Amino acid sequence: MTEGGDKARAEFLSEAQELVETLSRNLLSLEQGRAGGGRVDPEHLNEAFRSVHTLKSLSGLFGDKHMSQLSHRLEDLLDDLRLGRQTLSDAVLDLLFTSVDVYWQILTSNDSQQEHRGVQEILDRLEKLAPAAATESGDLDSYDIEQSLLAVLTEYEEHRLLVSVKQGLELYLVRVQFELVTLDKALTEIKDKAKPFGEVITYLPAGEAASPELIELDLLLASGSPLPEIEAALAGPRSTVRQIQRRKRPTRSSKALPRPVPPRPRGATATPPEGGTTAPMAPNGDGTEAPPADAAPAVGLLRSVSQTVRVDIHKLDELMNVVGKLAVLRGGLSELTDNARSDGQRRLASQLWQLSHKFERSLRELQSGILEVRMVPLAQVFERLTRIVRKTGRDLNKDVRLVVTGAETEIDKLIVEELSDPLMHIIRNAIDHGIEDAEERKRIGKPAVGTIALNAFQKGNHVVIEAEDDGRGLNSDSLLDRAIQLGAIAEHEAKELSRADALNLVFLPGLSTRDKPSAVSGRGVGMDVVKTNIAKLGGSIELESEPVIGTKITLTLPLTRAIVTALLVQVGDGMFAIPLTSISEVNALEESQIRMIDRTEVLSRRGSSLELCRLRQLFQLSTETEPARQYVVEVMAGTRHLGLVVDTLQGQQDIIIRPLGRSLHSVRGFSGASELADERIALVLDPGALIEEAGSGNSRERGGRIRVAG
Amino acid sequence: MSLAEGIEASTAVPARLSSADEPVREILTFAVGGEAYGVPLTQVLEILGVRSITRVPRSPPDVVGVCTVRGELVTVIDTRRRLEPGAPAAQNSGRILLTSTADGEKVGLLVDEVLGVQRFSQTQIEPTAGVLVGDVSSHIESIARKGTQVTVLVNLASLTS
Repeated sequence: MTEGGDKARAEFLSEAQELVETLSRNLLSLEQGRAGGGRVDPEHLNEAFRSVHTLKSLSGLFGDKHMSQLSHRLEDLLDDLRLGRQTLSDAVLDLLFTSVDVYWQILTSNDSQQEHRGVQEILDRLEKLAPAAATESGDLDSYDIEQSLLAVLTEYEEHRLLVSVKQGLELYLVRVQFELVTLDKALTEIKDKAKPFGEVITYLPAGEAASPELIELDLLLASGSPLPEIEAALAGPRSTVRQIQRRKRPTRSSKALPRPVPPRPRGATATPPEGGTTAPMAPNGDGTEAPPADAAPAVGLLRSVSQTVRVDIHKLDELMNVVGKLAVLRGGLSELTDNARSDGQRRLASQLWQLSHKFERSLRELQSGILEVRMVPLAQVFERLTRIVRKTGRDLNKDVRLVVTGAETEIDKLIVEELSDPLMHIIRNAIDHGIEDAEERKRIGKPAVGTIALNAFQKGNHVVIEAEDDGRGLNSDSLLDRAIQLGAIAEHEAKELSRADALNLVFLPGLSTRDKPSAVSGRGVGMDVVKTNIAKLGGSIELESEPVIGTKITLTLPLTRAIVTALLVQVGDGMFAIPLTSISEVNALEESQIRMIDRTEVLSRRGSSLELCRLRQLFQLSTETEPARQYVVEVMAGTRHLGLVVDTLQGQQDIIIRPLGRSLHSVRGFSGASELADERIALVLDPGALIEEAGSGNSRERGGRIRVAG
Repeated sequence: MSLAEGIEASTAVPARLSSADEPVREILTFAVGGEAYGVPLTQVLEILGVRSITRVPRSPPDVVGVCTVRGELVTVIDTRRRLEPGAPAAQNSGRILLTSTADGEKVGLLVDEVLGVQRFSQTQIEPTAGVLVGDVSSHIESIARKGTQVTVLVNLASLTS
C-alpha cells in the first residue's frame, strides 16, 4: 500500500474509532436510562444511529467490507428501534454491545481484508433478530392537529409524535420568527430552551414572514408541562405558544394517521434526524421525506472537523523535540550571560539576563501548551472498561456494577493507550476472584450486586487511579502457600512477613491464588504483567486488601512521559538521569550502616533494610577508587525498592527521554538517553529494570519518610 | 557550535547516466583500519566531524556510544569492529557517516577518514555472494575495482542493524 493510502487509512481508523466510541457511549446511556426507570431518551438512539450511519459511509468509502456490512445491518436495526418497529430488549441491547466489540476487533486488526470470526456471527444474529414492534395505540385524531402539518412529518417524527401522545403529553405549537442570517443559532437556542420541557418533534416553515429577511417556523413540542410554564419559557416578542387542544371525541373514523405507513424497504438509506445545523425542511408536495438522504451526517462531519483537529501524537513528539533544542539554546544563552558578567560587561550581562528570562518563560509556556494538547480524559479508557464489566459479569454470571468517578481527569494520550490492558486485567480479576457470587453475598449480608469503584484524580504531577471492589479480599495465607510452593520464599521467611508484604506476593510472576484457572482472568499470570506495564509507564502499583471487605488497587502514574523531571547523578565520568517519579528518597551513604547479607550489600537503618546497587560496579564505570562521600538514591517500582549508589548529585532537570537505537536494544537498565541543557548526554536509568535485575527486590514498609519527589 | 560542522552530502552531484547509457554508481569511499570501503552516496545523509560520544555501559563492543545531532539521538557504530571483530576499539576521532535505517532510526558509522566520491560502472563491480563466508560477509555486498585499487562495498542495512 502506498504511503498516502496508509495515511488515509490511519485517518479513517481514527475517525471510525471515535464513531464507535460515540456509539458505545450512547448504548451505555440507553442501558442506564432503561435501568433507571424504563424511559429511553430518543436522542441517544438517534446519536447511535447517526454514528453507525456515518460509519457505514466511511467504511464503504475505504472499502472495509466487514465494517461496511456490519454498519449496514446495524443501521437497519437502529432505524427500526428509533421508529418503534423494534423494542429495545435485553437481547437487542446485548447484540448492540457485541457489535461494538466486533467493531473494535475490526479496528484493531491491521489487515482490512482479514476474515473476522465475529463478523459473520453477528451478521447472522442481526439477520435472525425477529421484528418485535412496539405496539403503538396513540390516536392522533384526538388532537386538533392541522392535516397540513401531519402530512409532512417523516416516519420518525410520526413515531415520536405517537409515542408522545401515548404517554399522554400535551402538544404545543410554538410559532417563532427568526432572521434568516442567524437562523441556525436562533434555532439551536430555542431548541435548547425547549429541551427541559419536552421534545421538539419537528419544525416547519409556517405562513408568510413579515419581511424577506425573516423566516417564520412552527415548532411542534410535546411536553408534560402546562401551557403557562411553556409560555413563560418560550413566548416572547417574536414567538407565540399555542396549545393543541384535545378534541372531546373523535370527529372522524379512528384512523391513526392521515396516510398509511408503508414498511420501508430494508437497506434503504433512512434519513437521520436533523441535527441543530440542518436547515428546516421544506414541505414536499407528495408528503414524503424532504431532505437528501446524506445531508445531515455530512454536515455533522464537517462540523466536528472544524472544531477539533486530529493530530498524530508523533507530531507532538516532534514539537517536543523542538522544545528540547530550544532548551539547549537557552543553556547557551545563560552561559553567555555568565561570560559577560565575568568579563565585567555588567550592562550587557543584565540585558542578556533579562532576555534569557523572557525566553525561558515563553519556553515554559510552549512546553506546557504542548503537554496540554497531549492530555486526554481518562473517560476514553474507562468507557471501554464499562463494557468489560458488563461482559465479564455476564460471562461469570455475577451482577456487578462499575461506579466511575473522575473520568474527566486528564493524562497523556500515550499513557491512556497503555492503561487499557492493565486496567482491564485488574477489573477482570476483581470480578473473577474478588466479587463473590450472589448466593454467597446474600449469605454474608452483602448487597447482591457487587460494586467496583473506579476513582481517578490528579495529585501533583501524578494521576492516581484507584480500583476498589467490595469482594472477598485476598487470602494472604494462600498467597504465602503459593509463594513457598514456587520457591519464591522459604517457610521460615513466610512466618516473618507482614500482611502487607504477603499481599505483595501477588505481584510475583506465575503466582495465582486460584486453584483452577478460569477463562476470564486465567491463572493469575496477570498481576506481575500489570505491574511491569505500569512500571514501564513510569508509574507504580499498590495493593490493599481486607478479608471480606474487599481489595483496593492504586495506580500512581506520571501525567506525561513526554517530558520527565529527573535527578541527574554522576558516577565516575558517566552522567545518569533518574526520573523523579521513581525516587523515594536520597541520602548520604553511611558505610557503617552497610551489612552483607548473602553476598549482597544491604543498608540497614531505622529498622528497615535496603539492598544496595553500586552503579560504578554494575556499569564497570571506572577503576579509580570511589570518592569518600557517596549518595544513595532510593528508587522504587511498585513496592520494591533499591538503593543506587552514586558519586554526586547534579540537580534536577526536565528531560525528554529518547529511546536507544536498535543496536542497543539488548542493553538492560536504561529506558533511553536525553540531551541535557549543556549539550551533554545523560543515560536515563530504568529503575524497574534495575530492581528486577537486583533479583530479590526486598520490599519495605513505607513510612513517614522524606520524599524528594513532589 | 563548538564541533566541526559536517559536509552536507546532499550538495554532491546526483547519480546520472554516463554517455554510454551505462548505469553508474556514485560511491562514497572511506578508510577503516587501512582498508578502503564504500557505500552508495545517496544513502549517506551527512558527514559529521568528531563530536563527544557518550559511551553506553554494557553495550556490545562494536557500539561506540550515542551522540545527538540537532536534538536527535544517534547510535554510533564502531565500523572497524563490526567489519573486523576483535579489532582494537575505535578512538574518538575520524568522521561519522550519518545514515538512516529502514525504520527511520538515525545511525552513525564511525570511520577513520573519508576518502571521497568515486563513480563505478556496473562492470567494475563484482558481487561477492558465495565467495565470502562468516558473520562479517553479510556486511559486504560487492567489490569495486578500478585498476589495482579495490574498494569493498558494504551493505548498510546489515552494517547498521
